[in-house]
Amino acid sequence: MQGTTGNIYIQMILGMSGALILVVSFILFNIRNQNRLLRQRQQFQQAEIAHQKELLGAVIQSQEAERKRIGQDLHDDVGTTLSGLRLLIEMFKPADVKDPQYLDFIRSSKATIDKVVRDVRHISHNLSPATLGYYGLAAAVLEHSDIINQSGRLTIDVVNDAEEKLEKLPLPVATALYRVLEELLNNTIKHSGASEAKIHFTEAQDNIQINYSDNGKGLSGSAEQFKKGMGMQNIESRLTNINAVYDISSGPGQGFALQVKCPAA
Amino acid sequence: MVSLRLTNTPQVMLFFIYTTFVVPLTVLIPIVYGFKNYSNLPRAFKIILAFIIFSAFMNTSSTIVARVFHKQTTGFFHVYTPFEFAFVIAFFAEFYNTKIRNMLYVLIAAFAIFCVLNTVYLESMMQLDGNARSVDAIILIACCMLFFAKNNNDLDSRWADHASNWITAGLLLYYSCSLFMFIFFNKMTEAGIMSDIIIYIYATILAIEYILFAVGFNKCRAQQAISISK
Repeated sequence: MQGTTGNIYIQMILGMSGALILVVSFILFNIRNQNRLLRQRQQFQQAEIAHQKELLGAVIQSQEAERKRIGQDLHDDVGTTLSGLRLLIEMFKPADVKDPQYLDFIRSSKATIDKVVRDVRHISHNLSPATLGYYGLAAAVLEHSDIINQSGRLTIDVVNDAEEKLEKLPLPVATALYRVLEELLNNTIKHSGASEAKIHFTEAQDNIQINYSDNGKGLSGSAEQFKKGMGMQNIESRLTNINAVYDISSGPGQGFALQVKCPAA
Repeated sequence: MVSLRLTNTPQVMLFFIYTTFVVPLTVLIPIVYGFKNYSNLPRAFKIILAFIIFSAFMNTSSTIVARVFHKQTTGFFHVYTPFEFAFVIAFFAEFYNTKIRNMLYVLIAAFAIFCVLNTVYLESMMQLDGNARSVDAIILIACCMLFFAKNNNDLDSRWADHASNWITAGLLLYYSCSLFMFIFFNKMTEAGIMSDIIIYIYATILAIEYILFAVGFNKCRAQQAISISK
């Protein structure tokens, strides 16, 4: 009887220990398995995001190439043809050179052609700013700002404290940032009612920081609502594509400010 | 609820302190965490908190009856088992749809009837309700396994971030390890080193269960913080 009871105790201890080992192993395997599946899914999602980013990059790149081609065609073909037309009108000698109708025709034709040439040049510049490729982002932004400043609709102050890093900026990144600033300036002119805007380039470790601000009426809705707008989505997709982050701060009557942090290399 | 024998050796004193004070007092850890995060606790966790409080009350009552009045406390188990089953099944029911939930409520009622029949016809109040506790443990182990199988497909967050996983791990650990003790408890007729080891293991597993419950309650607060920051 003594032996039977002793056996039961041993069996109980063995059973309890065995169950403990089994349960702990089961839980650990369960944790490992679930975490592994979770990791795999995260990797899959990351790969999908990277793929989407690549696609977006390809779309932006082809869009830029197309803009460049149209811009060049406008500048070279249409611009040249218009200049030729102007010359042709100038060279035309009527029977009576002092005929007031002829003089009026010459004056209005030249004025119209000059306007079309200016517009074509402007459209061509907007489509593909040659300065960006030749002299870099800061020069292109300055040139664009000068054009706007001359129109008298807005006074833009450009401060460049990141000259060295901006010069080394790869062209796709510079193009993306230029398009973002262009979009912001467009928004300021169209919607904000601002009289002044400021663009400040700074360096921060391996990043280029761009602080854009205006003294307009600011955002009436939330920043989240603003982000849903077409222009802002364009800005967001361009910034995402170059691994840049941004932060908006604005409020009714407080102007609009956007800070962009972009990897320099 | 642990019975023990008293002698004067230091080992027995240590055993007495561990099983009578240290382990029963660990019940305060999940209770403190439970009340600290009470407003964030989902209904299922409130059921577990109620179960822990009920368990603590029964354990204290049993200890007082045994130590102060020197009376047998096996009868406490006969009352405790159906309530324990009801609390834990009600916890699991919270994670299923109405149909399964109703089936689980029927199971609670059926088990309560089984416990009464067991007490009346098979194991009297003078014995531990080994049959009922064993069936209770087997059903609850199955519920824990089904819960893990169901949750295994949830890939929204890490295993450790799910508060309910910690509670279920505690339940699975306790009932799996205690099953052998429940089956053979009525055959433990002699006090000695072997029975002490069994009681030690049982008490330690109970303490681990309470600690896992406390982690589960604490995770409820962490989950709330994550959703706010999002």
